[in-house]
Amino acid sequence: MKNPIRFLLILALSIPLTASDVEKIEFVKSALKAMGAPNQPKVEVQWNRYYNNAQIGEICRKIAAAYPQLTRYEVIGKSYEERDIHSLTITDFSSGKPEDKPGMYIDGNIHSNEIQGAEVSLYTAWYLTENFEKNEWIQELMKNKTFYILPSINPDARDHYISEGNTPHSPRSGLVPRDDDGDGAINEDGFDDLDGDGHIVSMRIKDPNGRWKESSEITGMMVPCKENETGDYTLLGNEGIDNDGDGKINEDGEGFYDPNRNWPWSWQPEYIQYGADMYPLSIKENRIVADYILSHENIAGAQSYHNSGGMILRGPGSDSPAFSYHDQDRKYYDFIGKTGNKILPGYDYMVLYKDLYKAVGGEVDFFYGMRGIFSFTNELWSSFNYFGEKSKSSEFFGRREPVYKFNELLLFQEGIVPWKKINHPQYGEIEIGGFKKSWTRTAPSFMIEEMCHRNMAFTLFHAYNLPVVKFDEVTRKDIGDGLEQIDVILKNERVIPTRSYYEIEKQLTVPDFLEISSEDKNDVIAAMIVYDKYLNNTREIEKQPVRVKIDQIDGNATCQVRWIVKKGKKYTVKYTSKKAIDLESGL
Amino acid sequence: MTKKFMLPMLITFLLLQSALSESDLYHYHTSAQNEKLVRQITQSSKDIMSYTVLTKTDSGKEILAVEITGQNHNTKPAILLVGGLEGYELTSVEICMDILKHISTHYSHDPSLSGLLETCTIYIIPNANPDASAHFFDSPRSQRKTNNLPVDHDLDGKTDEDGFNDLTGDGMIAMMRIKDLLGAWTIHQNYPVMVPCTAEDSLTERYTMHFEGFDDDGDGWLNEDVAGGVDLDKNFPYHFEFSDKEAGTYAVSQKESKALADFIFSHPEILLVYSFSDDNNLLTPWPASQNAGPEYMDEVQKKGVITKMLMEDALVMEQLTKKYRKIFQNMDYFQTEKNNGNFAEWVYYQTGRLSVTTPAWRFSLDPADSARCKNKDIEYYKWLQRSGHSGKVLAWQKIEHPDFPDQVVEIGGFLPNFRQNAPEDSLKPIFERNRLLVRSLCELLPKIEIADIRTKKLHDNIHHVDILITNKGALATSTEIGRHLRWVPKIRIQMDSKVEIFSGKNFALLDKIEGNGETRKVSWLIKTNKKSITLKVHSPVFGDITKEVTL
Repeated sequence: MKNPIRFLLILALSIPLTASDVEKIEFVKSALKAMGAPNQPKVEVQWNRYYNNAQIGEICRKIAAAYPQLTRYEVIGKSYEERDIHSLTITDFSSGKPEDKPGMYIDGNIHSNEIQGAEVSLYTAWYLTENFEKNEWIQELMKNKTFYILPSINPDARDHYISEGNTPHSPRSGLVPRDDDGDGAINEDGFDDLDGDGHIVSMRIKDPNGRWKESSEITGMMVPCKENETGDYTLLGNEGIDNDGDGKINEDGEGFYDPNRNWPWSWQPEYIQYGADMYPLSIKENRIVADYILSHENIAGAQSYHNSGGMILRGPGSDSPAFSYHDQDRKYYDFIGKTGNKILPGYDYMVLYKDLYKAVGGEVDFFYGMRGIFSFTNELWSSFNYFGEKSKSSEFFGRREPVYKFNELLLFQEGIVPWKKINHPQYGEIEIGGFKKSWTRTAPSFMIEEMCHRNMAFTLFHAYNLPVVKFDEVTRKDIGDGLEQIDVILKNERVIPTRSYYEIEKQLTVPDFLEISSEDKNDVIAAMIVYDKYLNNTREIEKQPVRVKIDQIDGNATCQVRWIVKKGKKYTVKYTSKKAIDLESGL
Repeated sequence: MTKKFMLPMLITFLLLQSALSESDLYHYHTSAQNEKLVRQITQSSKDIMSYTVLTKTDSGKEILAVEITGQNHNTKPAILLVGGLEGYELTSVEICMDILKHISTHYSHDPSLSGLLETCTIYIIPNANPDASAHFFDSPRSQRKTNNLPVDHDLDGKTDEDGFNDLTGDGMIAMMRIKDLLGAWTIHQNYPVMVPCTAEDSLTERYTMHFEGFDDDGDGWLNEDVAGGVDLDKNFPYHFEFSDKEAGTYAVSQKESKALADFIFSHPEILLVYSFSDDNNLLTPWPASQNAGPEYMDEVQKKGVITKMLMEDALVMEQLTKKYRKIFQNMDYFQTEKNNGNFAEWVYYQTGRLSVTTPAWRFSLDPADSARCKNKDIEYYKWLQRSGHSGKVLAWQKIEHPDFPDQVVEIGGFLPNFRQNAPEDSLKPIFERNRLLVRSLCELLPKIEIADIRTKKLHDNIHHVDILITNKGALATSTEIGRHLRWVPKIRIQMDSKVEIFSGKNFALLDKIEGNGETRKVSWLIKTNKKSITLKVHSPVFGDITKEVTL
């Protein structure tokens, strides 16, 4: 549809327009389209809030219904609590089957409270489909690539985070019940939302011998006393009650395992990796998603969205040599990651184990370790987003002062529950207050769209650089004795190789093949790979010369195969690759 | 009992009797026969045992778990027997089936057996890997350990496209040798056995060795992508080997392994697992740490890998080893390296239970033979001769092979699947020894009791209370490694809910009580005007013990 307004006007000849329709059309016509989102998308989505899992499903289905030529919607499985795990396959279906093109896999929200990954994933699906018609770069991208988008892979706990009392950091786990404190009872002592406001904040009690006081500069912020000071308060942790009378508060709530420490490859049990759970992919949602990924052999790039800290992370999460990434693959990671530093101001390209912390059994390592897939994890929302300065503090979530200041100057105090008195069944009169669950790790409404767009742009850059292979040259030459020499040169026009060095070394995946066929199989006499055409350095393929195995076609590089064949016959050469589009050429 | 019920019971009894006739006991059964037997046996002894279906394999076979409780259906410490892990080995399946049959037929008139089941439960998974073991009965018969999952062994994009072929049509996949100057094998000087060439026989005829087969897919390789599959005993997460195509894509990727893992994790009362594999940690114990548990675990966390049994657990294992050696005397056979990703090590290192594993059977070495050598094939050949099974070696015969038109190709050598399985005529003593071993293992299980509750009145209504819990069994209530895993439950001691507690909490948790009489104490300071209080010990392993004490 070239001109939607004209289309609507034509439609109006047969269907009477209402007054509000007319008003809308007039408005859109007169508004200047900003760069980016279309003025009148087929699917209206507000990118200034966080959706629950049912709403995510609804948006997915709307996109799929509006763009059936570009989208396929699927429920790939049900979570522990029987929620749908949604997926969208996005590509230009008219130019080929999705499974034949290199795939870019995108997911969000494996940690349930790290909620905004789902919105970035959804925005990507929405933006690609809404802009396909007008943007040639996107048309080209979707002709050559397939996107597999799973907005939330931890839907139970996402909904729990939204609808139940939580902190910005909980539940993190999924909702499969676990006995966290080994007392034989399960989830018996989680948070208690004492005032029922949906936010689990902090508890403090007035105490003339306490070691905490309120900051003199920032209202409501608690600071520890210096050695020579006396305080007014003792801090009591997060809102909660000792529900089981064991002398501890909130020691066994929802979950607990870490869904992002439960993946095969570098997985290690609990005594090495907290949250690993019983065995790799013991968590139902993870197993469904892992099997989905493994069953799509065309996936060549992967992106997961987390929060927070402004990071573009790559693996490995382990410092063990057994799980190190291949030297030769690092340059591709660096190329994508360092461009990410530009696309995402306030984000840093980092290596998980040495720049952040050691963590094994992560999803990011699963992609690379199992299938050689180039994969990144973005930690959305950075302290840079407050006032254009990234916190240098050693505190994991950045310094608290800018958070309070931003809350005061831009949120007009909305992000914080002010301290208020409440009666606690065990402590008596206490005060509760502090950050709301939807503040400190998640973007406020007016910054969500930019977060979505910039992160999408990084992922599209990655997707663009997945392999695009072409026949560079196909030649036939008479070499006498009734024979001909056929030379085929294949070229990868993008940065990422058709197979990573790691998957070649570990023999993880099916290699690429270049096959020749003719009417009679005895027409093909011999085959060789030419690895230096100037010096004529070749390696003969003794076994099965009609089907030449190619380890990879490197980024922006070529690969040459030569056959000696009988003269004057009709030949066809066919290139097959799991992570590049197959090609065929008649000779 | 009314007459209405007597007839079906009589029929069941008769069916079982016929199913368990002496002639039928000592031979190998198909998984369908064994599945049927499990149903019949558990039905006829349903007051003391029952079965559940853990999963169905890809070919629709059921993996069954039998729970033998005896008359005491309360929670008790348990052991688990797992047969059939090594797909081509059926002896262990029959050992498990024998124990099941034995308990079913002996429970009512063997007081030591019924007494034993008063304090413990026995779980039996007779065949953990029925798809693989079904190939034992295939024609042609080959040596196959794997399940039916199609695997692309040679990474050519196709699965299972170049397997063995029965070239001689005898129903057996034997060995195939091809005369070849580049070969690395030759015929032994004294025995008709193929051996790797050494410097001594450098001028003898050379061969390449294969299993019987064609190059089905014309890629120049023989049998490079045989049917199936995953070797279950490589599919567990301890030292899982990603580069091994038979290990599976990832650890616990298979229905069979997931069923086993989920079963063990959902049964915390299982304290000991007895499985059958190439390894024998009762004859050759696994290496143990030099440091005590906590120090060793610190080291493990720094290195990120655990490779030794904790010292405390290794000491416990010695008790089991002694029992084993007494029952299985003079074991003399070739011990094999264990697989990475095996079940038995995983059970100990990652589920925190004691794990014992032995081969169900191995051909024995002759202690009197002065010419004993390290070559397993030669020793196996000698054993075949010695034990009257010389028919299990096929004389080499020349064939025309289309893939090697110009070479001498011969079929012969050892017949498949005999070396891994005890001959049927030697099953009886194997069963008897395993019955004894399982009894001994059960006898060692921990037994906890409230040894004493001591109270001291400090003032009107104010009492000090001590509860003393003793483990009278030989084994500790959990492993030392279990203390470092989340999955090994603690023992919970609950104070009477009607008292006011001055010191202590509603309940206390004990993580481990050593065996052979260790006693642990928990104390409270309470206020109550009641004349007596009730304390409760609760554990997912030991069940509930309640005791009332007068103040």
